[in-house]
Amino acid sequence: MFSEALDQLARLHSIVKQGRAYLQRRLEDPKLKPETDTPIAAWLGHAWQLAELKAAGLVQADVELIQLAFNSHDDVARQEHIDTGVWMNLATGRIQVTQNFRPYKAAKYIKSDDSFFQVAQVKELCVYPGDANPRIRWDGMLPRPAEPGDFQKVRDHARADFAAVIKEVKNNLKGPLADKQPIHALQFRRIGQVDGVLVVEDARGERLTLTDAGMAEEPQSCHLLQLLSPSLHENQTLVVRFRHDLDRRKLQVKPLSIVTGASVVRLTL
Amino acid sequence: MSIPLLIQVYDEMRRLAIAGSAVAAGDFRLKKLIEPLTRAGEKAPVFAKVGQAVQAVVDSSEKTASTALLELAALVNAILYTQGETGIPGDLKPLETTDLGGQATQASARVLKPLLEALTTTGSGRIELIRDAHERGTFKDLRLVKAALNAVDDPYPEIGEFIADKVLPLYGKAILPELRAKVDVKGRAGQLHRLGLLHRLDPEGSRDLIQSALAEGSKEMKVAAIECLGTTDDDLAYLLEQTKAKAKDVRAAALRALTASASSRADVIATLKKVISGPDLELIISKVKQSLLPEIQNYVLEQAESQFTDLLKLKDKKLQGSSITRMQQLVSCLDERKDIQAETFLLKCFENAKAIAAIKSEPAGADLNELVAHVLSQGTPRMQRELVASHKTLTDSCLLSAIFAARATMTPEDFYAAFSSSLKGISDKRTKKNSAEHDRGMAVAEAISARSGYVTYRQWMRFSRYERRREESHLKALDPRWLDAAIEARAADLVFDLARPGHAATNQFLSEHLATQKKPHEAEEVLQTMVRVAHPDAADLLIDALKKQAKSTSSYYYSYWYGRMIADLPRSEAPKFEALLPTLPDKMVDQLMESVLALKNKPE
Repeated sequence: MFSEALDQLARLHSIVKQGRAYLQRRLEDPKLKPETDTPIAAWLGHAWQLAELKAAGLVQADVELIQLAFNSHDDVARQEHIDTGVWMNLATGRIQVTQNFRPYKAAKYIKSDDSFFQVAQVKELCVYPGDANPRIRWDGMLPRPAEPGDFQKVRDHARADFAAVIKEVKNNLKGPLADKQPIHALQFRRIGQVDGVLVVEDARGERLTLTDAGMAEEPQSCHLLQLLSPSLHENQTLVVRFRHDLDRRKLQVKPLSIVTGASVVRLTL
Repeated sequence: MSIPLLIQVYDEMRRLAIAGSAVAAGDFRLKKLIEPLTRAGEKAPVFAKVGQAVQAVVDSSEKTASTALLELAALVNAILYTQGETGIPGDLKPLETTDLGGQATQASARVLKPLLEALTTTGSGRIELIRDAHERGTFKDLRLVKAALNAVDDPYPEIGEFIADKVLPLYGKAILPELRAKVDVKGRAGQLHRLGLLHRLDPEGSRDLIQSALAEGSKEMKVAAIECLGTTDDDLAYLLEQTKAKAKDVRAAALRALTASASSRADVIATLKKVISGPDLELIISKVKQSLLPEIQNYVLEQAESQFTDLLKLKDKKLQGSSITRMQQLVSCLDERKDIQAETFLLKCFENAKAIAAIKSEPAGADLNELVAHVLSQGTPRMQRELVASHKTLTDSCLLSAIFAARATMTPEDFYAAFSSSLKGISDKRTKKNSAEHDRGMAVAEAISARSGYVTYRQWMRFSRYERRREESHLKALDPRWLDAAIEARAADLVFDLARPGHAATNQFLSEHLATQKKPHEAEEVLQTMVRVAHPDAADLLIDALKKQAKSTSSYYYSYWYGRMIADLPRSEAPKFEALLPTLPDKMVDQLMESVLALKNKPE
């Protein structure tokens, strides 16, 4: 707990430090637009409007998205319900998230998001400034049924080389304002256990240990692996959330879903 | 990279952060690390940076210590984030998987989340949600397995029972390891369900736990374990011994297990016969009637015949009362039997109904006649025919049983022809003069409204305790003319049940009837029916009711019930309710908002 608290304090300190510099620059140049290379504007409370994102060129056209995981949790500190959808852009393989914030006081007036089992066809996808899994939003979307070809695209985009992903994740994590629990799709050879510890391994033998620890916003999912058919433990795509345990100094993953050739088997909500 | 050194820096930094930055300046333990950091910095510049940051903390003042400490934390954390250990050495073994059985499904979050909350929290309304989810097949989603397993310990007993009885068996043997891991033979409540479920799913594999419960378990677990014993010689010997136990529940469990074992051993049969002939028969009725052993079936009939003969001879009211009670027990043992001997005996009882009815003890002969009629109504075709044929002479529950039997055996047209005229006997007020016609009409109405063929025999009487709920028997469809008959008879409750869309007379009846209802709860059922049958004025009348409610000074709002109706209206009515909401009090808006949104967003 203390380690997490200290990490949060260090982050706050970085926000203050970087935020001061950013705001100073904006004071000196009132015409300066909000920064789009980093999420600093959102950290400082800027609520991006869709029109702003479009004006800043943060738009992708004619995008197809498939939802890989979904969660809805109560953020007591923010006094909000937050619905988070984890999506993969079928063209680029990039994993992006939708977030629907519903303040407690207005929750009755704002419709909650739900799991989405089809493919979302979005004419104009707005992408917020962010790093590993940027937030996305759209105005209108047309659903179509998911086809085997879509699941195959997800599998093709999944990262087969764990070592490369790990390196990328670590490099990303060192940034004080980075997303500390990035999501990736991993192509694995098998899921098994070593002395009771759940492990996922790639084709080269590189391993990651699985855990639910420290990621309490989503329901526990590791225990579900034992309820799946053995065919899901080999040569599939595992969508995971990375987390660095500050006390044990381990980088581990939490399983969110398994993508087969025919479906997404969800392990959270 | 000298990671141990960095970890040392981290540990000291963490210690100081917990203690407070006020004590960070000049900290000697941190100071000791500066030199090794400087040395390491010659090979890796990042250590030099860390060394400088440490120096800044050591040299800081009370005012600047916090900033310096946070700078150090940000730097050290950033480095340690890149050093996270991954992987694990050792032989990677396959996961021991368990087949859940059947096709697993994936429910949406909107369905799953409330259900997970219902299974893991407390509060009212949960059992309905859980039952509904079970009926819809939602529990086949494996994300519910863990929550369902834990729900056997739910503080609300009905939920634990439902989960153990209906939900967990869906998962089959897959859940055995989890059940075993949590079973506690000294426990109570949820532990009883676990033991029962383990036995149900794996009778052989759970024997060790059963024995453990018998030897060391709590009283409740012992009783549950007794019921799980089987047909081995040791088990039977133990059960026979426990049939003599002083504690009634232990005795009952042993007797039930003995009956269920279907053992034809002489000593078992002798014990059961002794029980059947004695006062403990009430403990094993549910098992006796399921027994297929000829010795038991024949003995029950012998006892019934003998008791019946004695009953008709008795004159003393007290003796009559206890004899009636015993007859009721024996007749209950014959329930669901299809053999000719049981059929003959039950019909004999029915034929002697008049003589039995003359017995005015407590319980009375009329009570026995009701039970006999109930058993006949669900018996063989001949039993049902005889019962139906006598319907004109029957009253009360006997009549109800006969009408149910008629509905089950007659064609819809014949049933309508035989009984529709009885509806005219229903009055607004039951008097001495009209009681017979009124009761007959109400019995017919009840049979028409029934969704299942299961007629509950006197729930408040102890006999019903032995009855496991039967699977709902299929009832034949009704002749469509019943709705017109109900309207003609002005039988409002029946009209609500039978109403269907597009029936002009129903729409008119509902409109007229609503106009006469003064109180909100009286109007509620009418409005519900109107919404269900898509009455053309349903939305407008619902709005009128809500406006009336808004003016009411009562603190109890019916908007909860009205909200559910709103969501069932056609989507085209949504704008009317959106316009209405701002005119209503806040409390009503709170209750109705979600329903209006649901109406607005429902698919075409």
